[in-house]
Amino acid sequence: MDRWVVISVLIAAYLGLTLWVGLRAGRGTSSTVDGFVAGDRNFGFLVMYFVTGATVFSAFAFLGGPGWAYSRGAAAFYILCYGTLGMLPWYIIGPKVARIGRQLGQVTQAQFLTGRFQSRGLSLVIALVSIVALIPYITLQMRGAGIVIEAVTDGWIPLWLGAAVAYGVVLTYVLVSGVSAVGWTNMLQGIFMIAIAWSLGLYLPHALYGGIGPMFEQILTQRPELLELPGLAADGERWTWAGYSSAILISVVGLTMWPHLFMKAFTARDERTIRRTVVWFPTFQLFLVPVFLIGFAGVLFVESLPQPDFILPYLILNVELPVIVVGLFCAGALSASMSTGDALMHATASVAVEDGVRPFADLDEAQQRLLIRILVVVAGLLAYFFAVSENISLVVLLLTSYGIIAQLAPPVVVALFWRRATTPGVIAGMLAGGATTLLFFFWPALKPFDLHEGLFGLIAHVPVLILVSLLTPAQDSARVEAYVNPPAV
Amino acid sequence: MPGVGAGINEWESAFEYSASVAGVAVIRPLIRRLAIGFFLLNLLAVTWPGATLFRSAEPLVLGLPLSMAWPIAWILMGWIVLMLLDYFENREQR
Repeated sequence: MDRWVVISVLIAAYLGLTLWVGLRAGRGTSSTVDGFVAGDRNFGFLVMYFVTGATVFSAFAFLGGPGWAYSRGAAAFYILCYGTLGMLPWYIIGPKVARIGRQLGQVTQAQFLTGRFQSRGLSLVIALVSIVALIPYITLQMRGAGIVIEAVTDGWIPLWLGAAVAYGVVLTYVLVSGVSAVGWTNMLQGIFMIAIAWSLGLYLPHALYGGIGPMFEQILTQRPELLELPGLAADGERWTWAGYSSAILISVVGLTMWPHLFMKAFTARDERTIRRTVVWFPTFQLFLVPVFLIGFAGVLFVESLPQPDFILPYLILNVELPVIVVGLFCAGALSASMSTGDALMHATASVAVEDGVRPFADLDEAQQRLLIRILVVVAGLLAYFFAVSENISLVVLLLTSYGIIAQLAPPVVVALFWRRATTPGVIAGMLAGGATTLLFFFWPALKPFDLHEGLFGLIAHVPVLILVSLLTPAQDSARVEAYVNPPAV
Repeated sequence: MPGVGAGINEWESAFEYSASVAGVAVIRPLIRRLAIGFFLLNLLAVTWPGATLFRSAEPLVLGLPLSMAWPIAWILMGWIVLMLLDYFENREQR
């Protein structure tokens, strides 16, 4: 049998298993909006642990991570630095958000914010920002899945077909089981990702260089500049410390503000579950170590790859590996892609309906669920359309969206901790922060320092929020207390 | 009357909450403050200027370049600190 046929069978078996788990997951969840979007607020620790980890680490980690290590060296270590710190605020904020959400019946981030800062406009803005940030993110996951399948089947299964099959599976289980499918499949996918990343990360340096130590010794003699912080910029020149440090900072602020992660606070069974998820997150973060080892393994073996993101598939195919290893690699990469993609598709549709439509139209439960399901399909098709049509600007769009998403952090923090914050203050802050971020994104020459544009956004955002809040009348105390000092359940 | 009953329950739970807050008020801020201090140190250590002291690839630490071993060490330390924080806060709450 041809090699690619065996690999295709392995991929099909893996996708079948995922589909089976995803379809079974919905049993026992109520057919309500609460059930579909927040899993009846009943996720236990193990599921939450894998949901958080597998959602954070996407196709980008599996393909982009090695790609960064291969082409930009130590610059990739910034990804090691921000994970634990980025998840940390969640230890304090997460349980509080969950408690308020349970009391006020919220299932999305915009509902949480507009519960205190009542404004349909704000709800719509958050919904639009979320969707604009999430769609390119889904697109990248689909492309990742398609690229991997095309590479390991020697082009027999082209990108468009591979992406369609993998995301057909995702679409099916999300439509049937909602967030419960995301939870249970992420558990399976998380275990696959970690096991495969560690196996390959230890195996490849050993097979190519005789070990991890010898690998780095050889890189040190031939490409020493690659291993010194802050590594290289995209153009191959030295990256600046300001660029490196501000990439960490903006990611720390933005990480938990991504809607598909933030919403998971509403799925947790209790507050302790959220805290334990944060406590154990560093163990997931270590998954990046083998990922980078894979990228470094390529440095002296592959002269120059026009697209560094292909380093892992390239290595896999050009180092004579047993067919089962190639199949497993593919399953690992698909896991990484699909475990993030499913959460993204689910979040996009939920946010669009709950925050974009519902404040303006009166929908009953059944209509909401139907509309969310329709929009899951629409979001999937839209992302698929972008994924199969060549479009580089998507990566750029995604990197910018971190700066925009980080603008959700000040409103979340003041909603929970500052009694004097007001709705006009929050809206003005969002506008100032968003506009500043976009300004420096489109005209980077205007930047006074080489910092991430999102940081400039925050620098403009916070004073405007404070000033406008103080100039406008304070909110009534009942609403404020429900957020600043929520009663225990 | 359901309205009145719900009102009393709310009062009770509000009271329990403030009691629990008062109970842990002594120890909790200290542990949290220590943890926050640790993670601020973490941030300074992995960004400019702290990370410039550990920018070099040599010496190799357990086969890994120093520049990579340094953030990994902070992940491991962060994990331990978070476990301690959770352990103490959870014990205090009980």
